[in-house]
Amino acid sequence: MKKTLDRKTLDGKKLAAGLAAATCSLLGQPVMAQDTDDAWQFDSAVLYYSEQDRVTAVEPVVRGKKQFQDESELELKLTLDTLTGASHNGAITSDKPQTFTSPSGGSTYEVTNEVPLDDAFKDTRVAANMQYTRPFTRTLRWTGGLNFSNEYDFTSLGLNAGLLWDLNNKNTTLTFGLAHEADTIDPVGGAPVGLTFQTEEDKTDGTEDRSINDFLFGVTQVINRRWIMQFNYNLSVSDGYHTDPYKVVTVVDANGDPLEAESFGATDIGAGDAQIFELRPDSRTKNAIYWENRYHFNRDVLAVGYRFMSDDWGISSHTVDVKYRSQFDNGWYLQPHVRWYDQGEADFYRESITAAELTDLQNSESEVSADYRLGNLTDTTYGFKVGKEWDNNQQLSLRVESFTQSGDSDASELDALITQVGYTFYW
Amino acid sequence: MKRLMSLVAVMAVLGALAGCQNLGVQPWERDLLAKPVMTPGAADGLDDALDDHIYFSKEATSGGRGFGGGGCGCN
Repeated sequence: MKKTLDRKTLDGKKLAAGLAAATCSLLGQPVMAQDTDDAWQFDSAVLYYSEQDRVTAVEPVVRGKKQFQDESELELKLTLDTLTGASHNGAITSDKPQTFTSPSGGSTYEVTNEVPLDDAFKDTRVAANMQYTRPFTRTLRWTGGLNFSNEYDFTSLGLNAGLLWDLNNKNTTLTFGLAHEADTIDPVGGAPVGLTFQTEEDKTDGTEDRSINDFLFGVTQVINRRWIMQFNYNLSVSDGYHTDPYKVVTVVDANGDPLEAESFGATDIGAGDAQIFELRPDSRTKNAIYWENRYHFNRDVLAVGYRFMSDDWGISSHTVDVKYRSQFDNGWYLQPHVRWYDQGEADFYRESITAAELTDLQNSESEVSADYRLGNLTDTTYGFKVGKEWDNNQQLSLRVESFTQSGDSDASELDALITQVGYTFYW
Repeated sequence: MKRLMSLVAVMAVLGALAGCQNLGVQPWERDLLAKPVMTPGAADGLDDALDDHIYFSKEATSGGRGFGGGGCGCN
């Protein structure tokens, strides 16, 4: 309302834009030029993610945002995600042959001297998000959202609600948020019984469930005219099925070579077939803190983010994310990006297990996983984004980044290329 | 002991908020802060959401910046 009044009485494009900027709330969306005030802002992007010898993903996204006269805001997002290629099945890399069953149980495949990959990896994911934010006093806003995501063997439904509270002349904003997510997992060929030999195909029909409850508390603080800071605390509690139904753990002898399933009384399907289905805990509690800083130099902007996460699986991780936006004439910018991530392994992570360890696990019904994503891991990403912004607020950008993973096992050695084209327009 | 810890934590948060009153700018000094590139969580358009999705499926950590949202069967 204030924006409209100012514009009417002063009738100056520049001044109105300046005042709109001045009244823009901290966590609100970017101030738009006058001619885009009543328009929908559309952000669109296509991500192309390609791992060497493994997964390739193509992900188009479109997001529409609109601010209404009453200062409420609606955001709608649609994501399509197509995956093809192969993913690590959990087994060790060995110079001895290993035999595996496909997830559907219909066929077997043998791997020697290579990271064992399940090449039946193919999926299409559709996700839709809706978020609505509305002020109900001068300093308080509420927000509510719905999320839906569906792929061949997985469906997720989520809702969230939050409160945003502006303090100190809008220099401080407190955020309180709650989210609930209900996941349904319907694995191809059924959900395997953990710690049983994959050759037995011991699987249960029907679906598995998982529910996740999140709490978020955030403080956004303006430090000075050039510097803004955000601090978040996130508690996430999930209950239910956390096991990856397509991952196995290799049972090895004293030399580290794969054993035979028949020596345990299980069905023989080939050489090195002593592979058991993994088993993870049925709950997980994560605590994360996130700290973001944005500093505006005369033209350039530096953004530094840090996250620490710790969970009751014994995993802790550090993430550092740095972007530097160099602003050039005529709306061009170049933004180098570096990301570094380091995690410690889960208590139940094993690259492989011995026959004695398998007996212990089965007797105590304990968990085990050889998924390298739960092991020690160091990731680095570096690359850049180049973009051009026109006077009518249209924006075109290209992002190219290199992503490298490295950990204790051969399976964790991974290189990927991230390419993204983005286009923003108003309509 | 736990109550004492909670009390200390609450005092620390209140103290920090009181400190925040001395920080910040006047409304007419928001020229730089009002730019989209200075909005935490929204400065990079769809990049953050796409990155969160990539790293969610490749690492054991997610969340922190906000809620996951939308879910994924990839981890």
